Amino acid sequence: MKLQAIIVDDEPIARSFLERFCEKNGNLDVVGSFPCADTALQYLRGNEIDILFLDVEMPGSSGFQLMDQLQYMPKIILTTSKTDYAFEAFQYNVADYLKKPFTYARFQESMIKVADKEVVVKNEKKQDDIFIKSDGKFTRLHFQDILYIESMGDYVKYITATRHYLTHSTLKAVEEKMNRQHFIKVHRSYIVNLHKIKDIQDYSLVIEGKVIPISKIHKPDVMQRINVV
Amino acid sequence: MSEVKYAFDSRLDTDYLESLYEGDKEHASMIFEQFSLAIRGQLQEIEYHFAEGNSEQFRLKVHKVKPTFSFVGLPNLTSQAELIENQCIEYASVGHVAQLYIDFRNNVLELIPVIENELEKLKV
Repeated sequence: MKLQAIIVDDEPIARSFLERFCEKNGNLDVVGSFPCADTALQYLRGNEIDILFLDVEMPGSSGFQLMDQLQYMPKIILTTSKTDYAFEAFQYNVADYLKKPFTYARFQESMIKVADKEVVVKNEKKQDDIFIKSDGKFTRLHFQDILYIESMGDYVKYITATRHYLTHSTLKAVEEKMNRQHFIKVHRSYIVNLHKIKDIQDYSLVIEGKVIPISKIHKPDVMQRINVV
Repeated sequence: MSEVKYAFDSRLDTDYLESLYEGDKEHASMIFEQFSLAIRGQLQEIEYHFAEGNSEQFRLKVHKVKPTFSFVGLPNLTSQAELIENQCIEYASVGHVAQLYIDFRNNVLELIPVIENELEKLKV
């Protein structure tokens, strides 16, 4: 059964954008899309939902004021263009915090946080290794051994500490197969193993001496995933 | 055979757009269309509150429009809007952000035709 979700955001573009991702996910049913907290609250008084995508700063009541008035707590994902609400988000025990605009991969990560992987994210694997076809044979690579993966046109290169493997594939296809706890896309040409990052500075990171660019759109995701004190 | 990738206008942040839409032209077209339909009206509202000197309403309108620029590949305008918003919070006066706002508005007006042209290309 699909999970029922509503979207609350005063910006129509943000609502449309998110509706499309929900549709693409295939396991979410958007049963309502509201431009303000008050109309959403009316709906929520008569209907129970599983997931609430909620903007914070809106005319009239804010997202936090809406949460104060809820009679039950669905899984809440804040969607905001500001990063200043982390403390409040923690206090309200929200499931996740998406900075607009976000990529589909980041959206899918959020779905993993709010529900069982098997229910929400199609084809999400619990394995800790993959087989890749390289040099005419299938070779097992453990996730922990991969430093990063680089797109090279119609090929992708898997880099480990000891050697490189070139396979005929796309970074998008690879991204779908990789364990999201270990890996994150940081640039259109790079997926990196989060546990192998040594430094991050501005829009680049370093793994085993290799400087890898971080694109503007992926930077917030990267900073959210690393354990910053 | 390689898939032919859609090429966004180089005046837009093409890497950003490719990450956002992942080749989904229909999705991009829908968002560019909504942006094109709304932006001039939103700018007028911002201009009105600026002229009135109403810093809180001005800030709220800037805040609302802020992320929409990134959706169409203009993350630098989102950053400019964020700077204006933060300065409004700090000084509670439109006077303090006048030059920032004028630069921002001019940049937006210059780039609206680029978005409109991109929309036409996306629809083909």
